Amino acid sequence: MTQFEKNESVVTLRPGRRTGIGQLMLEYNLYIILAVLLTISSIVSREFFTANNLTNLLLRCSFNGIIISGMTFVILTGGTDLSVGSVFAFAGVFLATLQRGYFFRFMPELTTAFEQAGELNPILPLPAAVALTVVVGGLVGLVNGLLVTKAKMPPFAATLGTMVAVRGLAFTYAGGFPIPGFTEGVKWLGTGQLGVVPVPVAIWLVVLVVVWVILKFTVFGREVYAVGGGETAAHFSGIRADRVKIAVYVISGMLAALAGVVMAGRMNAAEPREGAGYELDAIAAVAIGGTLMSGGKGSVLGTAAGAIVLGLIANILNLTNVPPYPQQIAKGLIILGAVLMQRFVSTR
Amino acid sequence: MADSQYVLEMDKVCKSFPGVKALDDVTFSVKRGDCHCLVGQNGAGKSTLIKILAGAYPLDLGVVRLDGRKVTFRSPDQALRMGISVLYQELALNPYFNAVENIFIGRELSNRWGIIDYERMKREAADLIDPFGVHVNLNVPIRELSVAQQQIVALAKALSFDSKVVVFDEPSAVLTTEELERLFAIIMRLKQSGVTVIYISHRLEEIFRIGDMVTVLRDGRVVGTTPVAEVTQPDLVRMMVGRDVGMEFPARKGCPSETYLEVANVRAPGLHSEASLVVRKGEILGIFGLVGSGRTELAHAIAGMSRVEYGEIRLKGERLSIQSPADGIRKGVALLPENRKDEGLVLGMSVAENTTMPIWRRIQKVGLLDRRELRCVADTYVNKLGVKTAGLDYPVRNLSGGNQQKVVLAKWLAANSQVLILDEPTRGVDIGAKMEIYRLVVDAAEQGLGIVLISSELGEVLGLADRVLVMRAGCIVGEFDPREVDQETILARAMGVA
Ligand SMILES: Nc1ncnc2c1ncn2[C@@H]1O[C@H](COP(=O)(O)OP(=O)(O)OP(=O)(O)O)[C@@H](O)[C@H]1O
Ligand SMILES: [Mg+2]
Repeated sequence: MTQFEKNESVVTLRPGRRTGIGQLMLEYNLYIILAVLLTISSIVSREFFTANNLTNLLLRCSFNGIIISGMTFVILTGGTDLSVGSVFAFAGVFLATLQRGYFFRFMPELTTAFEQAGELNPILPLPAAVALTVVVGGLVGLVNGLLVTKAKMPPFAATLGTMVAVRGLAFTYAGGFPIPGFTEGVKWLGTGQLGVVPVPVAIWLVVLVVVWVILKFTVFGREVYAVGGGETAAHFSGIRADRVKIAVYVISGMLAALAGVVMAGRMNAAEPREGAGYELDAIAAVAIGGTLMSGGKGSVLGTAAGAIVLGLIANILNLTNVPPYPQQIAKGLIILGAVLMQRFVSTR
Repeated sequence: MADSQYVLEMDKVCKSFPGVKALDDVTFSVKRGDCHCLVGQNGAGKSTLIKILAGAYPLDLGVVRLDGRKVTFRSPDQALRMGISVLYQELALNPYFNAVENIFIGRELSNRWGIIDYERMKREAADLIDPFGVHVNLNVPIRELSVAQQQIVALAKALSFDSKVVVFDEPSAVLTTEELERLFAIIMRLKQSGVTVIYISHRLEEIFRIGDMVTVLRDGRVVGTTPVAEVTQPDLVRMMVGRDVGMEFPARKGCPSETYLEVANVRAPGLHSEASLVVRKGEILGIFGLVGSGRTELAHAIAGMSRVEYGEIRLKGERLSIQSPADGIRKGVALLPENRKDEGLVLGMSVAENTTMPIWRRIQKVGLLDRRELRCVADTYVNKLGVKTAGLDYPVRNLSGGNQQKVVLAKWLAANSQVLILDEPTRGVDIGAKMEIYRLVVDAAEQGLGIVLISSELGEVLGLADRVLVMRAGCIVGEFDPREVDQETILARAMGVA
């Protein structure tokens, strides 16, 4: 399997490629878990393999999917971003206010008149409004990044702070209640179809491809891995570790905001309560996806598969009419099982 | 049976890693009370052998016998309880614990109320560290100590178990002459009290100083075991490498010309007075000093790892303000750090990626990494330095210690800077490769780089440098011409006795 090649002073080893089931299992274990779950699902429920159900499944995964595409960056650097759920909610509220021609709804009594009339008065064209919302999400990320790098706070603590604060901001901004009604454009983002593909799923796919390309082929992507794998060594090698870390939080915030916009369109309402607990789902998906929580190792495709595993679990429990509370127990156990299986297979 | 003359025996031991046969049918026996040395090129399998002895790796095939009885260790603590303690090549200390906590981790001493007796632990730790004659602050986390101080803590820890076999895997790589002498004295004492020592080193003179027997490994096989008294250094080299290796330092042709780097009255953390030096184009400036003399701190200040408090750094007459390593690399001042595990390498990344890390930004095309170029650069340097790896995409974590060091060097040679500071560049590298590295360093100087060479090996500094600065206690205390000075003078200056 190994051949030696003499070159004046040294022996260079050239290994044969490892093949066989073992290697396959190692590289694709997550996809094997996914296949197993799919098989189980199709056995326990007749409805599972209907086009309708599968589209629905992907649709449900897409929001979490977009969020964790950003979260993957953060976790690859060895950090974590707990603020995504709050940013997600805040993005919807922020866009809703833009659509109504004002920025702030501190005093509900002044503005309820507008809403009762259902009046929409977009002050910005849709693309600009969405872009601005995403930028605002990025600003929250910037705050996270600065707290982590300049103030040297542990990511968990820093983003816990912004998580609580931004959630509060979402409620304040919305005056405490959901803001109903969006323009057609926003609704299309959440409910439209591109052929057979729902728009949120299409957005997710685009995000996925872009993130995959960034992580795999750009210098920035490799820097993310280097910082996560060994920050001092990366720093000493001329990588501006602080900038990389700030950038990943910005990306995470932007994608969380984008997901929030799409969700608002889907619900045709901005609900400041939305997205609570999403940060945990996102972390679960990343863990199932085989990304090392300490950073430096993992892939966005793995994370996407992790999101689908999570979606599948919920879907199959629904189809088999498991009541909500036991559902949570089952979900927790299946997450543990999946992560365990990952560890087991990949340490062999 | 328990009285067999061998404490430890390994019989036909094999061990493979994916793509590499690290040990192939290795038979190795160690006599009680001997100092048995183990030598071989980088990647020959020395550390793997030790790790199998210590229960850190399982073996594929073969038998290990301790006192004539077959043993199968499943973990290092089992081996430890049977009386085998190991100083590993890669420091295995908890970076956040202080020296005392590290030495007594898991077996803390307690008073009769069951409360940890910290004072007693501290006293015993000091007793273990004192014989090395190096001041080690026992109260700060290990990561705040220099590599050499860390090494001494690790040595103290290995000695603290009162084991019957103590294994040293390259203890000398980071130590200077002074601490090394003290280590030898300690080893002699151990032998006198009947302890068996296994000693690994690439500095063959050490083998002749303290060894009784020596075993040579090459590509995972035993080439031979002989009494040290019956071989010469060239014999050993021939056995290790399989051919003769010239041991002369490469000759210098060009002569240093205009001034490149000027460091004027610089104060920085860890320096106790203002430091000034110049490096000329094509010059190799050697810096020698004992552990903790501020060599690394000075290097860090120049290359942007730490902040310059005041003073000036000029490159080709132009004032430079280097804020970070990235800044330094961009402006042409690069540093090869001494601590390869934390500062030198991202262990989980591949050989190719590590080699090219400082130039990623340079070989990009519209933000995309040019992988062909990347592999091409990596391939060139990996071949130049003879890095033994299963492939360019192999994670550096899986390389042997010396080969990891070659990757660090490859990286900084590839970085294409104008001034290159090398902090212990040949740490843990085998003789053949060392000569190769010397040639590359001299080549680099001939091609017009300014080189600062920091090393604990005085021979290396004297053999390569055009000028030598000596540091002591955070100050530059002398400048010498290596052609006109002998080792004793420099050592005396470094130790403050002259
Ligand atoms: N954990 C590992 N995974 C894969 N390969 C490994 C691992 N550890 C060692 N190897 C390989 O086994 C071979 C022997 O390595 P080992 O560390 O024993 O060398 P060594 O003789 O100690 O070298 P050095 O003088 O450089 O320390 C090398 O080719 C190395 O790449
Ligand atoms: Mg070794």
